Amino acid sequence: MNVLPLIKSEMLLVYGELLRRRQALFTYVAYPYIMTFFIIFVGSSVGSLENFEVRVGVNPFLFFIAASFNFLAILGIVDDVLWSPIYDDNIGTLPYVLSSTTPWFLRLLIIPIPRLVLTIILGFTSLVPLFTYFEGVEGFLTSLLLMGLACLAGLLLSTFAIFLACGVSMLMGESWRLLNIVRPLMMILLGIYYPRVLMPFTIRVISYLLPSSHIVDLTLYTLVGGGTPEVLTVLTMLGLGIALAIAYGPLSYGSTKSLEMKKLREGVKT
Amino acid sequence: MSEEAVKVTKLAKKYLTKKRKGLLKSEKLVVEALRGVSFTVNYGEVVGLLGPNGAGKTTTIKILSTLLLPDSGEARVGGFDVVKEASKVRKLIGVMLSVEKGFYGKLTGRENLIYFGSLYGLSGADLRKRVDEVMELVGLSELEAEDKLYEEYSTGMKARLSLARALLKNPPILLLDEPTLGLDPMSARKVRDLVKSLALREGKAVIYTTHNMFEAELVCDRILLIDKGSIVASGTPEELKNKISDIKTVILQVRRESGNLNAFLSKLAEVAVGGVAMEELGVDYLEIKFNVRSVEESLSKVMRLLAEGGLTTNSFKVVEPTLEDVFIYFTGGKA
Amino acid sequence: MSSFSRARLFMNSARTVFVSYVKAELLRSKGFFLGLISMSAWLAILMLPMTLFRDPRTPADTISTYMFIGIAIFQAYSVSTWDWGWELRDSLFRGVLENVIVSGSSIFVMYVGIIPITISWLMLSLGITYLMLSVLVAPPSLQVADPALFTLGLISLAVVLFAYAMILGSTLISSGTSGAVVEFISWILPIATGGITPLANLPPSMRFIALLTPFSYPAELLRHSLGLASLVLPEEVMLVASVLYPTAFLAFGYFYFKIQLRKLLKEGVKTVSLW
Repeated sequence: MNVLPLIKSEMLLVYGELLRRRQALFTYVAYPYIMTFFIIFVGSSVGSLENFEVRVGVNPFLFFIAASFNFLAILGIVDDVLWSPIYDDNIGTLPYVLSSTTPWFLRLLIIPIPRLVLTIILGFTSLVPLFTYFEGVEGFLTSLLLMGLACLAGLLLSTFAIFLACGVSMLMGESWRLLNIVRPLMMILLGIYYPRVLMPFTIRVISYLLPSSHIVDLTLYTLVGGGTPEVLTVLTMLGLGIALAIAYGPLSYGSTKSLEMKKLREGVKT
Repeated sequence: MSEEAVKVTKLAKKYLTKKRKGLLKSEKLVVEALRGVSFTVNYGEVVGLLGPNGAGKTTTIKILSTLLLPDSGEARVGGFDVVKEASKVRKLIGVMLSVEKGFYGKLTGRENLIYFGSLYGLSGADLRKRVDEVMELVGLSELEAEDKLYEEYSTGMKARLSLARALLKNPPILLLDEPTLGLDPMSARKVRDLVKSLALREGKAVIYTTHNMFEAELVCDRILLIDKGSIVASGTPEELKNKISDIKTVILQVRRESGNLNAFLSKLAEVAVGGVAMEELGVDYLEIKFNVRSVEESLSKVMRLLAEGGLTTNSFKVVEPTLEDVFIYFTGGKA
Repeated sequence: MSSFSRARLFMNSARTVFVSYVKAELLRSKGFFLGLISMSAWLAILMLPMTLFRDPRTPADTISTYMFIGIAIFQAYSVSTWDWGWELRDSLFRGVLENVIVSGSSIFVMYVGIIPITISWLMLSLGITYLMLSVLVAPPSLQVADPALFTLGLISLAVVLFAYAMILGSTLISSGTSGAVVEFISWILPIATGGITPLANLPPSMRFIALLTPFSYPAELLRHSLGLASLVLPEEVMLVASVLYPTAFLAFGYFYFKIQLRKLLKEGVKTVSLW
């Protein structure tokens, strides 16, 4: 099956729903700054920037812009996967998706790919300017590396996201409420805003099970380690992330099929 | 491809639903949506599924379009089983399920069709060409609506776009669920004419559900009357009317307060065949419509009942039955 | 119809809105419990990084108190934006608003019906915030040093937020503004108006802007009455401003609302997308 037309059509959806809408695009691009300044504002009223730098080892502006970028980039890539079963059901496109010749699983797998464009736009409007401002050419190169890592983190989370999305929809009706619990929990466990090295042991173990958490950790290593973590560390983390993403493949396929059969037994809503 | 486009054999489906009792409690109910329905549809014909709301029309369409698993029975579309060979069935069908939903609001009509076309396996220049063709066919080009956002479409445009999607891959079999629901007469006529020409000129097999008798008579070559999950009658519109050819329809206009209406109505039920339909005509008059056999004998009984009831009639007509009368006859008058 | 009858009809309608919302959203769809858990999760995302700023020498309960107040005010703003302001747009999208207008009933019925739920939500969410801070940092120590000032601050805040909701809500329905813009506003507003941070901690230029808005006065009064911040203006000035400014803002909000509604009826209901 030729997947290129599918990727192009998903790109059309991304374009129509976000890129073409100036208000929505502006807000999306402004988000990393809003979240960064929000956290730094409140944080500095309960403590100081210096305390942060001592504790974490990174300039807080750079840390939070990178974290906010990561947060939005990963969410931007996988959120449409997480919401797809519910959203398509609500607006009435699910019958046509299921009755098409394209397997549902394949469509879900393709959804993140065009959304990498959002990551790149976000990177060039937030990460690149601030890193270049604070750290010059080295900062520019670091920001490109971080963008690449964010893209990888988003893609590696896809299979897990499909498994989660279909699994949640299987468990209950009104599953969007459950998804609204699962999404933020997932973002906490990824260790984006709160490094997992600081988490309690049990939570850290759960965090290790998320493919992208290893890539997020790499991001932190890149920031703290002055941009050059050890090769073995890099390879280990990349390997773990990729292996986990592949391991979730069969689970995500199974959960998609199960949800499809459940919908067919109950009748797809029209 | 077999001569028969669609073959359904003893199809059955039950739904589990809930009846609310108070704030938090509920009671489980079983609804038999289909009770062993059987029928066939050939290429080049439009077959109507005609019935009231909740009769089982949409359930039938969903099973045939592989969106619902039946509990028992068999359905074959294009020669393939809808359960075991769903992926093969999907290549042969074009589906229109809802007039007002099922598209992305922030995409234009054209972009929506391109999106779904790619899901259907079309791509590149072929896809774009086909999108232009179907938009022309359904009349969206003449309305210059191709590049308008879907959320700005009127109901008529939405219906046309939905039909355009069903035609995208030029399927030999079309499944259309109430395609003219909510449309103005012009748009509805356009859709009906198009559907008829697709069957006649292109040899497509079309299943067309509706609860509008008038429309069914205009569009369909054959009609299946469905009620409470069963097919109660089938045939061409003429054949259906001939099933009750010995039956005539009587239409009375009686003055409400002129006599004992309730007594008349209860005795009328012994004379009438099937149900008795009533309609208010203003404040003073009531129109009563019913079917009778053996016209002369029945009419004299009716006249006697009117006299006994002391009712004043404004008009009294005897007419040939319409499809609506056939429907009332077979379904007991419930709509 | 007498004023009393009208008021009684209004309250009956508001009660119906309240009961319908409770049945549909909170009980039958399990929204109550799942919503609370969801809120806790989102709050944790924001709270956890803030703990990284604390000075190890500062008592943990002081840190958590500052965080509690900041988050409480942010949530109050969110309630005003999403429960009240956005509710109108949501009801427009669902096709409910037109039916409310046609019924002859006041649109304020929808606000008043939701208020008990909003207050309950806010109390519960503050309870969850308190619990989470107690677990992650330390139990906040909330001691009302000046009850009268605290009460005035609360009333003043409620009035300002209601006025803001009227302005936002009516702008949304008459212009069809997208959800993305409102989300943007919901983040910026608490920061820019001195809602989250004590005015004394803001840069002078931002403090000046904050003092031009009616939002900063109630927030500052609340913080001062809890002993968390010194006032940047004399107390008498703050008191007068906290009464007059919100009242004037409310009056403006009401008239603006009426104008937007008239505009809506003149130009017709706009098509709005979901987001």
